Amino acid sequence: MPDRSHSSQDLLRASRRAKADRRFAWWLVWLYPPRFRRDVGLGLADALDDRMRARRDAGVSALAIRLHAIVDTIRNASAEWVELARLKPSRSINSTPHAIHSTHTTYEPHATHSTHETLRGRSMFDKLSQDIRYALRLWRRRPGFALVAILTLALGIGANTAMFSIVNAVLLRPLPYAHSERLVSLWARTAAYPRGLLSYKEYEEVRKQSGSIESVF
Amino acid sequence: MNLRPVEFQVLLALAGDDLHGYAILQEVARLTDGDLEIEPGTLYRALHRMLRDGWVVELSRRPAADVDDERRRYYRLTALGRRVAVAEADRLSRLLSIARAHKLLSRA
Repeated sequence: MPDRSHSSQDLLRASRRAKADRRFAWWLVWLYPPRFRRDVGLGLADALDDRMRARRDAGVSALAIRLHAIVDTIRNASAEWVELARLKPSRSINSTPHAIHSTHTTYEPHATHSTHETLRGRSMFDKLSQDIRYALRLWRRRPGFALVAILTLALGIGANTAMFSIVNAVLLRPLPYAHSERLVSLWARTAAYPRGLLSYKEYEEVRKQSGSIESVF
Repeated sequence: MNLRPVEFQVLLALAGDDLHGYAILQEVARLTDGDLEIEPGTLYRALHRMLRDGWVVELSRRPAADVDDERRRYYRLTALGRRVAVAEADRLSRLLSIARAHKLLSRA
């Protein structure tokens, strides 16, 4: 009897893990461009899921499995976005079965569509995706500039994070004592040093005699 | 038209049988004795291009019920895909015969 309950618990855990893998696979597929998702998203989610399960069965750690899937997705999804930015945006499996590989096309943001579509007629998402494509194209043409911009952002964000970590630990987070808002520090005032440190003897005396201070560390 | 290595691998895997995505990955690993492990994202980018160019089609009809997994999408080589594979095999074999002529290939 206890054996069976143990195995059913294992089964439950396995099915929960399978569901989590499935969700994770879907989440990764969402990083691909919409048309790509529409065309092969389901299959890709299945394959990611299968690959994760196979790795898990082979005894690979959960973290390594997911990292692998993330690296795969970052590499291929970004390549797919870059390709989308490079080629003309009108390609779909249904409309062009034997698609024409268009080479580099010159491109001005908000200009190409204006002949048959008015600016007002296009949704905000269209404009946004056009801007993103334009940005990616510029990035390709001037990778040095992009690198400098990314490095600047990375340094800025990194420095900010580091500063906040220090400020948070030193100033914002209360000290690990009860009623930390009532903490005071004691100094010894002499003629030479207005803020001198206490000796151990003095510390002992303060500890013994102080009435207004609850406890001394 | 330049064929990418991963595309040729997929064509080879599908030359035998109609397969679903993960089965293609397994078949590629089997055909290369495990030397080549394609990641799902790489495979599906290739499949997407090949679907677009009409080298493979997604099957609407399911395979036999006993081997079928209902959520799967199966892919099949088209006549054009087969021609591409033949052309690439031909090109490679010509390269190999040159290599052989220059004693760069040990096996016959």
